[in-house]
Amino acid sequence: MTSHREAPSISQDPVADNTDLYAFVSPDAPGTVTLISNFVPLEDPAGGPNFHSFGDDVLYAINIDNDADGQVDISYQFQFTTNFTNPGTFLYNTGPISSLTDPNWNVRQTYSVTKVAYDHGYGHDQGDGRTQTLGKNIPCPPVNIGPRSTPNYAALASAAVTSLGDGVTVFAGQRGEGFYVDLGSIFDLGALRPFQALHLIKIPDSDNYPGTDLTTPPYDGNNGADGTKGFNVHSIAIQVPKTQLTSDASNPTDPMSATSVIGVWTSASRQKVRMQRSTDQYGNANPGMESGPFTQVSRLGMPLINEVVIPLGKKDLWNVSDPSNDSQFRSYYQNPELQNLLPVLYPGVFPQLAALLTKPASTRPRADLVAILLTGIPPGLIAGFQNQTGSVNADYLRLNMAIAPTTNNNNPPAGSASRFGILGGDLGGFPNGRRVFDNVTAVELRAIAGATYPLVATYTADGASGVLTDGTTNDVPYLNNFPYLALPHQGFLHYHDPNSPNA
Amino acid sequence: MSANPSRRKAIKALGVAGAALVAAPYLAKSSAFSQLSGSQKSGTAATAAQPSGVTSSQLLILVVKDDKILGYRGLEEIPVQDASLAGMLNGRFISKGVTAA
Repeated sequence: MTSHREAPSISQDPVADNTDLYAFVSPDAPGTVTLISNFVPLEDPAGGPNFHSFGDDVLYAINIDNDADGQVDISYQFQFTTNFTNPGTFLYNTGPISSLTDPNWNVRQTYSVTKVAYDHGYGHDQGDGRTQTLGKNIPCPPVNIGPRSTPNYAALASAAVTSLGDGVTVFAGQRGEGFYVDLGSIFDLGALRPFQALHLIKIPDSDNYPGTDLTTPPYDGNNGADGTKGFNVHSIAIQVPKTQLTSDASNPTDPMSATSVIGVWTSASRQKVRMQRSTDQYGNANPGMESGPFTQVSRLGMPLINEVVIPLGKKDLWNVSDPSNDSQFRSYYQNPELQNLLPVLYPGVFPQLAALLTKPASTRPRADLVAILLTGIPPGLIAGFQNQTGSVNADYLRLNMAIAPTTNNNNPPAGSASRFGILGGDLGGFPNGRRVFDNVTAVELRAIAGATYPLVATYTADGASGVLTDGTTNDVPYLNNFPYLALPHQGFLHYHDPNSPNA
Repeated sequence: MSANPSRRKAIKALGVAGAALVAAPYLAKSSAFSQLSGSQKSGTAATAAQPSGVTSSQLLILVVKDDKILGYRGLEEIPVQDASLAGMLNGRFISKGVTAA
């Protein structure tokens, strides 16, 4: 997954676990940028009675670097508070929830939004920043329980879209998981279902899998099985005028201007010390408490990096590190493990890559991956485009805000070029930021397999590198307006099995 | 800062490797704390807007290891290297029968 349960420590802390980050020029409001950060991986919609939520003790942030130093210049910070309307029941709700003020709704979350601006050229560690509270006590919608409890969920969710003034709009709450990936196959020794006939290890006799013919769709053939099908996440979305994100408050119109590019990453932080809830000497409940400054426990910029590029022993370090210190991880981008595995797992499929890998690693650093993932694509490689942020190695989404949206349809057909972003000739998509529908798994697989190496070296990419995919698409359609991710699956009726009636 | 040899010896004998203590009254006696109070902020990218307004009524959590003390109160982290204070804290706990696990 892009960053779901990707590191040992954070896999034990779901409410603080960044799963996906999106940053794109809003297709229906092109003067703004939409930033979405998701949390709580593989959230089962039926997970009551204490349904999934944000953590009240977590500081969530979406961070912007607009002067290319790898350090935060603007941070949008979100903190949540949970209240029980009726603590005398075990139920999340005691009747249908028809509005955000419905007394039947027992477990409510509200949140605050704070903007912290740091002095340009100094970075966050040279001062506390200028803090501006953009909103308080903003309601989250309830989770989508089912037809009896949340009969008109779309209206509840819409009511939770909140304007904060000055052109800023926010939403925080449950949404359908927007990331699609064939988890079950990829983590079974790197198998891509559409290509698994070429895999080094042949699948066992299908008789070992009653009811499952591993030689026919959806378990084989051209289709992958979306491993996140039927799951939800908790999303924080904020839409901001571009002029509030640039370093000089200008409206970016020139794609080749450095001021048009911002770096975006998200993070979750906890206070350093936690005392566990207990009973005191009189048998009374002693609430748990946190103390000390917030310290980062999770972060996310480019998808899949801490998942498959950073090795196990460094993943926790990566999560607590600042992007400005990412040069310490550069060697993993220059010689990614997955690159070295592909010719082994798929013998004969990647002859050019296999030949390249016979040379010493020091002679073939993947400067293309470093550019795409750590410094941005410099001018001159792709006509009319750049998203370079200088020489500082920093893992974040780089969005050139001067590139106008290329589509108003967030559900282009599966396999359409637009889903492959810049690799598909669509400058409005990944890795120019990331839209909700971008097939980032395929893009990064192709890049790592060598498809982008000719940009920086004399090299002929393998044909296979240009068609790699896990064969998945999202299980539910995205919205064409804020907050763009689909409504969450309800607990009463949802499916995870790709062979389900709703598949 | 002077270290009391006997207390330091006691600390080492106990193998105090991170004793978490709640002992607000002792801190008021430390000039080091008053000098450093509020001076230490988190330096990570996710640093919150650190609100001030820490009050003396808030719970103070101390972590003592050797001659180093980390104090946590509200959103503050206050590091102090003070062998004398660390030794006094450990000595008080020893006198109350608290021994290392």
